[in-house]
Parts: sequence; C-alpha cells; structure tokens
Amino acid sequence: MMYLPNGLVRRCFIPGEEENTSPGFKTVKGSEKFRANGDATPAGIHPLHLTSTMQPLSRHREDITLLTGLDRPYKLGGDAHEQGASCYLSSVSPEEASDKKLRFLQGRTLDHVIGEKLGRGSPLKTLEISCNGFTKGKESMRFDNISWYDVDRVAPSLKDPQALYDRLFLSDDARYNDHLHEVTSLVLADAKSLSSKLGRSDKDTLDEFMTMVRDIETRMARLRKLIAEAGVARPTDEVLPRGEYIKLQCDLMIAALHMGITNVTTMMIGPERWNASMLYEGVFDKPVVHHAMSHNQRGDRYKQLQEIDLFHMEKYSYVLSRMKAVKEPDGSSLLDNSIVACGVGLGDGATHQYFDLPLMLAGRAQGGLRNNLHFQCPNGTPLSNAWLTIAQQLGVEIDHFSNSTGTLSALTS
Amino acid sequence: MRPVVCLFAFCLPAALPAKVFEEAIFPILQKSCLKCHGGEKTKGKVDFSRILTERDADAHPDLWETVAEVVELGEMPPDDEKPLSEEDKKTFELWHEKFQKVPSEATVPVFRVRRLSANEYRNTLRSLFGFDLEVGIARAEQTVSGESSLVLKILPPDPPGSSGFFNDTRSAPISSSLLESYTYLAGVALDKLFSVKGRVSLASMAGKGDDWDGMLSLADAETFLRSFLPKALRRSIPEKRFQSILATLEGKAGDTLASALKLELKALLISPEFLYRGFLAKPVGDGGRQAVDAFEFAERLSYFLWEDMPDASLFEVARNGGLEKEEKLAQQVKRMLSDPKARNLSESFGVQLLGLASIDDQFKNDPIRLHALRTQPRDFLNYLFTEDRPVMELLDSNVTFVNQNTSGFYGKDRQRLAPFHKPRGVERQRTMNQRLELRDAEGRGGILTMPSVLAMNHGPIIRGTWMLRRILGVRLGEPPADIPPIKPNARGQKLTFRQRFELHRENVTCARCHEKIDPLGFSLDGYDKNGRFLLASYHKRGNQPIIDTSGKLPSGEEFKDFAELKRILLSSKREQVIRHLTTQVLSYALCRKLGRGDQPVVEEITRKALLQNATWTQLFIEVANSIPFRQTVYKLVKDGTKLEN
Repeated sequence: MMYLPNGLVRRCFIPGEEENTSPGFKTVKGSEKFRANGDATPAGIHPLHLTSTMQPLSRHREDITLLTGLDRPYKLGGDAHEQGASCYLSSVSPEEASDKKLRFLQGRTLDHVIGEKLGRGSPLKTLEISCNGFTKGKESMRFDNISWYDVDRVAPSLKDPQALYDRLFLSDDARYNDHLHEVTSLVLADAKSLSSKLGRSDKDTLDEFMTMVRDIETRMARLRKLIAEAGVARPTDEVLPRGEYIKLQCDLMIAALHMGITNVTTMMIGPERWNASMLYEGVFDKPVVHHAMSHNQRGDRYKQLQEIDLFHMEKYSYVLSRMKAVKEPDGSSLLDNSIVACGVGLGDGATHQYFDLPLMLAGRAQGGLRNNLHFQCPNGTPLSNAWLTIAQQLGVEIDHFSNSTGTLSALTS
Repeated sequence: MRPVVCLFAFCLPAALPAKVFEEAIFPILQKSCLKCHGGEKTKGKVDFSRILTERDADAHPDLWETVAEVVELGEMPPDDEKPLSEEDKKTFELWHEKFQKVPSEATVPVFRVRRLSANEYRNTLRSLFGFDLEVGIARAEQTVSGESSLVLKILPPDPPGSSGFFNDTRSAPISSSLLESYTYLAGVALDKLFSVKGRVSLASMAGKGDDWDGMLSLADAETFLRSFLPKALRRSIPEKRFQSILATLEGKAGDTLASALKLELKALLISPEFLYRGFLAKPVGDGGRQAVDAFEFAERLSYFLWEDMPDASLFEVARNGGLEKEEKLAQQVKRMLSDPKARNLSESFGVQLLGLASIDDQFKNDPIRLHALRTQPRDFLNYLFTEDRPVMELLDSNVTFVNQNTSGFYGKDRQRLAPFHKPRGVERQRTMNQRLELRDAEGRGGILTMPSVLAMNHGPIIRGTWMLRRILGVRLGEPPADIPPIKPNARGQKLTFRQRFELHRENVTCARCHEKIDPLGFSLDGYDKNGRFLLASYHKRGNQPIIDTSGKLPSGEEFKDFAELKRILLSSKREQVIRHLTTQVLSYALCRKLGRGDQPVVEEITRKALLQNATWTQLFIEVANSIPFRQTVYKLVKDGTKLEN
C-alpha cells in the first residue's frame, strides 16, 4: 500500500476532469457541494485513459486498474489531513466509532487485518515505512502513520533506511545474542509477579510491554533462517536527496517482500500536512512546502503542484518495475502475485474532500484481479468496498470491513 | 431552550444544577460556535466537538479563558455570523465566572506508570554504570556537531507529550522496535562493564581495589548485586529478590559466573521496572489519595532536577524519611542544584521551555556559529537555575554569556573578557562562553535580546508569536488556511513591512491574533536577523530610514521602544509571566499536562513568588513541595489474581 499525502491535482489526474478548475480552499463541509455536481465519467467500466499525471505509468498500463469515485467515511473532529492519514485504512465504521465514543474513525487498519492472515509464516506480520526525513516530531503521529494496531496504538513507521535495514536483516549481532530466550523468559516471569498489585491502566501498560517482549522472541526464531540469505547492503547514513531516499526505502521494502520477511507493507511517500519544506530534486531548484502548494492551485500554480504528483508517480512506477523484475521460482513475477495499491486520503488538497477518492491497484493477485481498466464507482461507493475486495483477494475470510456495502466484483475475475 | 436558560440564570447564585455545562453551555456552543470550531473546520485549532461534558470542559481552562475574552469583546461570533443573544452571553459569563474560580482545593490524578524518556534513559544508564555509551566513530569537531551518545543515536526521539515536554511519554507507546533498541543497548552496556574498559566501574561496585584482575568470585558477585540492584530499581530491594538471583549463580565460577550474572542483569535492564517509573511504587492500604512513598518521591525529585536517577546521598535521605519536612527537602533541592547534573535542567527543561532546539536546525551548516548560538542561552539558563537568581532575571539580567563568536554584539563590554587564544594553524574554533557583566552594551540583558534568541527568531511575526507563547504563555493556534496573503507593495507604493501588517490588521479575523503579535514583534525591529542592535549609539545609521519600534498592547499599555516594553513585562505583565513559568515548571516536574485540579497549586506558588520576588531555586522548592508532586491517587484492581510467590 503506497500512500500519497496532501491530495492530488484532480484535473491532471482524474480522467474527465481536465477542464475543471480548482475551487480554492474549502473545508470538508464546504467541499460537500461539489459532490452534487456529479461525476465527470458515468459509473461503470471504461478503458484506461492515462491522464497527464499518470504518464510515468505508461509502461505499466497493462498492470494497472484505476478506481475513481470512492468515498471515505468522515467524522467531524480534528484535522482533515490528520484523519486522511490515520483513518485511511481503518476498519472502524461510523457506527462503531459512535458506539465507542471515538474521536475519529480510527482503529485497527487493513494491513494488520491482512497481516494477521498472511503474516503467520513470515517473521514480520507487517512492515510500516514512511519517507518523512524529519526526525523532529513537528506534527502528531496521526499525520505520519497510516498503520495502526488499534485506536491510538500506532504501528510506528520506520523513516531511517538504516533502522529499516536493521529491522529487516538484524545486521547487528550484539542486539541479538544467544541468550535472548533466557532473558525474555526471565523478564516475563518477573513481570508476572509484578502485575498482581497494579491499577488498571498500569496493568494495561505492562501487558502491552509483555506482548512486545514475546513478539521479539517469535520474530527472532523466524528470522534466523532468513538472515543468511540477505544479500542487501546496509545503507550508509548520508543524507540522500528526496527521490533517492524514497527509492532506497522502496528497495528495502521490495527486498523484504521478495525474501518473505513480510507479506504486507504500508509505505507513506510523505507525511500529511507537515508544513516544512522538502527538496524535490530535479523538479524545483529550492525546497518547497507541498501542503502550502496544495492549498494554492489558482492560476497556473497547479502545474507546479502537478510536478510533485508526477515525482511521486515516478516512484510508484519504479516500485512496479522493480516488482515486475523480481521473478519467482515458477516464472511469474512478484508483481503478478501481489496487489500494489496507491492512493490518497484526500480527494483534493485544496478542498480537503473525503469523497471521490482515486485509487490505483496494480498486480494480478495471482490472477484474481483484472487490470488495464478504469472503473468509475457509482456515487457513494465506500472506499472500504475496495479494502474488502483486496482483503478477500488475499484470502482473508471476512464479509465486511468498516462501512463496506459489498465488494467491487467488476475488478475480480 | 429559552425557559431552561432563564431558569438556570435565575437560580445560579443559589445553587447550580449538577450538569450546568451539558444543559446550558453545550447547546450554546452547538448553536453558535460549532460551525467553525468543531468538526472538520477547527479554526484557530479550537475544537468544541470534543468537549461534551463538564469533565471535558475542566480539562481546557485556557480555552475558556480565550472564549470569555472574545465573547466579551464581541470578537466572536465574527461580524458576518449571528451574534450571541444577550441571554446566552449572560449564561456563559455566569458559568465561566464559576468555572474560572480556582477550585478551593487541589486534586490529584490517578497514578500512572511512565516510561523513561530517551534522555532520562541515557542519563540513568550513565549513572548506573559509571560510563557513557558512545558512538564508535569519532568525528572531526569542525565537520559535524553530531550526536555522540549511542543511546540517543539508537532510541527514536520522543514525541512531545500533551504537556509539550518530552518527558511526558505516556502517549508514546512501547513498540517492539523500541524494545529491541533497549535490548541492544543493555547488551552493549553489559559487554563494556565486563570488559577491560569497564573494569574500574565493576571493581568499585564489587568492592574491589584499582589493582583488581577482573576475576569475579561468588562473594564479589553478591557485593556487586547488593550495590547494583537497588540503584537500578531506584529503591530498597527485598532480601527474597537477592536470594533468588544468588541461587542461579550458586556453584558457578569464572566465566560461567560472569555470563550467568550478565544474563540476570540484562533481564533486569529490559524489565518494565527499570524502563518505567512507578511499577514498584508502594500504595498504602487499599489505595486512594496518599503521599507517594519515599523512594518514589526521591525518584520524582531527581528526574525533575537532574533528569537522572537519585544518587547515593538522595537515596540515603529518602530511606531515612528525610524528605518529608519542607526544610530538609529545601536543603536537598539546593544541594542537587549545585551538582553538575543540574545542568540537565537547562539543557532539557530550559531548551523545551523556550523552544531553543530550533537553533540546532537553523544553523547546522555552520558548526562554529551553531556552537556559539546554542550554548549562549543554555549557559544563561543554567546560571539562572543553579545560582539562585530571581525568576524575572530571565527577562532582565545584567549578566550574560559570551564567546568569541558572540562577543561582537556587546560593544565596549567585550574588552573585559579574557583574551581568546587560538592555536596556530586553526582558522576558526569553538570557544567556551565567558560570563560577562553588562555595563556599556546597549539594548542587551535578559533572554529576549540575547543575540542567539533573536537570530533564532528573525522577523517580527515569529518573534512576536514566540514571545507570546514562550514568555507570556499565550497560544494562538495555527493561522487559518484561507487567509489572504500579505499584499506586496503595488508599483510606486512604499509601505514598510510594518505598514503592510497594519493594513492586514484591518481584517477582523487577522487582527484577532495580530494585535497581540505585532506590537511585541515590531518592538524588536531594532535588532537585525543576526541579533545586532541597529539602534545602538555606536552604530552609524547614516541615511537609513527611522525604525519604528513603538506599539500598544491590546491591554492598553503603550510603549515607544523595546526598553519600555520590557519595563511593562517586568511590571504589569509580571504576574502573567510568573504564572506561565510556574505552570511550565510544574508541568515538567509532573511529566504531564496540568488540569484544573492543579490550578490552586499554580495560583498559590505564583502568589508566593510574586510576594517574595522569588528565585528559581525557591520556585523549584515550591514545586517539589506541592501537593501534586508529593501525592497521588492509587486505584487498585482486585480481580482475584493471586500474588505470585
């Protein structure tokens, strides 16, 4: 799952919206009236037309399906960007959220639901990656993480390529010496005696801690088998240009998938909002602030913003090419056996709209998925229908996900 | 709605219904405020949609302060919206009046365990082992001002908690990668302790002399454990626990003994009791509100003042119940502040209080200048905190700290500095700060006009917002995203930056914040982006335009330049500044955001500090002696689980 922050330039990305102009800054509520205008394309299956932003994907048109017109549920409260990222993959429906009095529709995310099933045999159930080079916590973690174990329980994304490498390949022996098992069992025994006289919240903290301790141990056992095979070099700690950095993170992600270290990964290609300037090398000659640009698409400014979309689209294309090049023993490619989704949490950076979201799916999921299509969903189709379809394609036996109303059967073959 | 409101307004003086907020205030918010401040639109980061009950309302005292202010001034609802009816206004005012009344008694929240922050963990490990864990590769001083601590290199930086401080780690949960980092660090530390490099530390803890050969006997291991275990867990350890560890070492010798001991120690170092504070705190009886036990209190004190575990002396005093009396506590605080570890108070609390970390980000390309700019305010804060200086000297002091790089800002005063020596062949070097008494330097004294702080915040708007938030404790929130940009000068128009902002203030929405920001910010226009004082008599300004630094605060005070503004801050704003600083110190000490129950304490300390012209030391003592610092509430669960052993 690849996530693009701060929306896309709609008129450059969505087929049929080429003539639209940006409505300027709108709040989520304010954006509602655009919904009434209807869709540019009638609902149903169309041949895939590659719009200007999608050009970097031309090599892969055979592998891609574009979905448009998906709606994400939204709950009043908090920031649109914050919800965009942290609730994008959430399994919580609006009803559940109001029952549990949640502030957002936030809860266990799709990757963990799938990881529960697909991760049983792999050392890591899921892998969370983010290409946010800032180490200081400028915004809350909800802007920077799309993967959550549960409400307010973040699955922290790895930002540093070295840290990511170490997590995947355990390059440092001192961290994993032979006594790990004895040590963890001592800690566990000790904690057992501790837990009896604690208050409720402290007990929860302790339980959480213990789960992590056990987790390390299981991981260790599975990983030992794979370490020897790792032929990837540990990244140096030099500061890379943004494109190189994203590519490096993608390379490590693909290595993890290839080696079977994990089967489910999420990748944020950049943080939501995060009003800090980043240098998109080869695009602009000085650092720019993506969020600020997304709010100002008047005149010709959208063309500059599109450059960033293209920059991100090239990275998606890069991932697809790499995955296509990785061959499995039976001659099929890694891409043939996967679903590589790429989507946005906001339909437009300027309007903060949470409806009419585009989503791209690539890969054949071992023949389960049709490609080279553009599927315009009927008005009001929940995004969770797409998530449910993906989950079912990957063999997860569930019949609903969040507020889903069914699967997108047009996509499956 | 109407009858309810009237009824409520009439009976208010006599008795308030139990659910005033839910029944009277919440509907008003729904009707008049939620459109812009709740839900997806949270203008100015004000979000009423999360405040549903009186309890929720209690948690946001600052918010209601602002609401009362804007309602009274008629700023909100804005002109293009329906105004509040007189009844609603009255209802709100009555409610706020009652709300505003600081509760007569302080309340204390339920006890929660808390994980050590990355800094606390590094310092604790250092004090425990007697050595630092450093990054393997040494780097040239001139090239990188990189992190040399292995701990800080490996542990992810803590996100600021809801209090805004990094030591408020409750919201950052433990993750398996974090736990792996702890495991790794514990391994590295133990390997070093049992190697030649750590022999001095090991010898002192095992009761051996300097000439020890490193061969550990069973008796040595016991001596070591009896010294190490209470230190690591920061309290006395029951004999049973020693015995159970000693039992596993029984009959072993040499390398087998050492590795068995290492194993036990490693388990200890990644146990929740070590990594968290509070798992071993001992409630009395069935829980409820009570004083924290002596060791927990010592721990609170030492992590507050040192960001580190208690030392032997504090531990001893705690064991003997010596911290219960205020005078004894005051003695301890004074002793601790004179210890070199108190430097962490300025390095951690001070830096976070004033947001000084952004210096590191801005000047990282020039290590020599960065060194000068980052150490100057830190040395100054350290001087205020540890040398018993009055609280208000933060804003007005005749002492500053200067090195070769910053000395040029201080006019003739720099002639009194000891000369800086430069070894041959070195072009630029880092020099230590020297303490400098200000006599002739114009426009200096206090943190606000310190060159490094002025260079960190250049531009009037950033300087103004910084001063509001960091000194006066006013948080404005984010600017709305749909503000029109400040208009550039049209052809032929020659408006100054200041005049363009005056135009900007004509927009009511903009004025709401800018009338607070601008006067403060523009008063510092006499200082350029490097912090140079342009208006000093020794700078020839020639034909440069006159710089206008006058202004008028929203509260009415007028000033013609920054010096006058400073006098206002020191007189009529004094209480506000002290209240803000007290709040921050208390919040840092308690590692949490303050609630309404803490307000009586803040008020009491502020009152005392105002009366006595208190020093920082007195402020720290007051905080350490306060109810929320000394007490807690334990809620114990009885779910029928039996105690192990």
